[in-house]
Amino acid sequence: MNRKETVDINILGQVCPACLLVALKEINTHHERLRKGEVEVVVRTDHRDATRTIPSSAEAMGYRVFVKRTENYYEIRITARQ
Amino acid sequence: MLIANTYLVFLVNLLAGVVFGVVLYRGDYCMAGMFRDAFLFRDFTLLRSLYLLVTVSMVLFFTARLAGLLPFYPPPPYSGPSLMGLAGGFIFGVGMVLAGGCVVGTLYKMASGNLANLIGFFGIITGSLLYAEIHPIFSHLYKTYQIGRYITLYDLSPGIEAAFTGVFVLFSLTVFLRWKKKGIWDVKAYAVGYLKPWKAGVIIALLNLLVYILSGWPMGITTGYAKIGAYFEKALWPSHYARVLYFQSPSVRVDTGDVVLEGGASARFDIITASEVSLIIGVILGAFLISLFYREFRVYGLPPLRQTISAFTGGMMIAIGARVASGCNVKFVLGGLGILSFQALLFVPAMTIGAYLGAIILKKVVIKV
Repeated sequence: MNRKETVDINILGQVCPACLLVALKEINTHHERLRKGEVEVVVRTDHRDATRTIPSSAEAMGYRVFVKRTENYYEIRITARQ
Repeated sequence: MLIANTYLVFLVNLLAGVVFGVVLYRGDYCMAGMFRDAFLFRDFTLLRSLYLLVTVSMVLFFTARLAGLLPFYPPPPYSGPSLMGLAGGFIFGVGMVLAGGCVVGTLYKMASGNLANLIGFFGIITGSLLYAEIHPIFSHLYKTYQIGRYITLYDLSPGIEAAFTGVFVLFSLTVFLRWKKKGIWDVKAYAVGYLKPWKAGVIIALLNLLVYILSGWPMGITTGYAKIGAYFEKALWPSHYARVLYFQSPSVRVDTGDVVLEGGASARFDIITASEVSLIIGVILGAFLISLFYREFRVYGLPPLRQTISAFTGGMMIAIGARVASGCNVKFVLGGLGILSFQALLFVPAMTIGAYLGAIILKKVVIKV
């Protein structure tokens, strides 16, 4: 498997809806390469509700989503569906 | 069942606040977010649970009144509707979206270490102090534009209220069952200890009934913010504090014959300290402890400048809106809609329109995506 480029989005400590807005923007910006599997978007957030909204939106758009709890925040990885 | 001892009322509301804070945190149950996301993303997930909350409250308040459990009806902090409810609701709606949290959302988020919400909190205190300066004007306007003396639909006509409640609850029940069939209540989130929104809604409705029965009226919170501001002002500028009329006049006064419950925004221990400041402390404490428990408490530093300004301005608008309308979303959405208060029926639609404008400003000006 080729090494993927990672688009890292850090929204820790930001005001609330930034998470989904910024995540959607990045997904749209990179959507072609995302779909081809060349790039993946990783969102780091401390907003608990974002672990609901981002996965459900990204899955509805046809991506695969992995959520990992790291030290004290959440890492949401959005990639192409295999 | 009314507890006449002010210190016990304080304790009851403090404990209710702790539970409230835990529930809000676990469900990330943000009312500002519910309205905002409905407009921004057509995401109605949380708003549906708020509809459930209001319906459950309606049933609980109605039944409790029939059972004679409610110490006062209508609740003393409520008054007849005024068109200022529309103006205040609108300002409040814009403010809560810009602040990234309403009057309780701000508390549970700042308690887990979010500085944007801490700034929003100081915005609310500052807004309350600003309002105190112009209170006489708005108090006059409230009376001038008062459009009725009936406080709730029950006051107007018990028959219509019973019929409306019956039809509304039955209709809502069919909607809720249809959603259940479609699996819509089964909301998934990856956060540790996530509390499903419908559960959060039901727990909050039960909590509010308990508060109503034990301490006299449903939860309220914004006069508590003004009171915290009053303590600051009294400490820093006592000569001015003594001249501000808003701090001298009580906002609620009940005489049961046995006890007199009186309180307002003044910097002294009274029924508002016992019922509202206690709730503020409780929500902060509950959310702080649960965020420590889940090892999620963390301070990340200040958000970008535009968000910082937005949070503070939003906080001020929340406070001014709430004072102009004589209540906030906790009073009118969690309590007022359930008891069918006319002021709530003015406030909530106006707040929704405000949230719509707030969502546009947030997207186009603050976050700029």
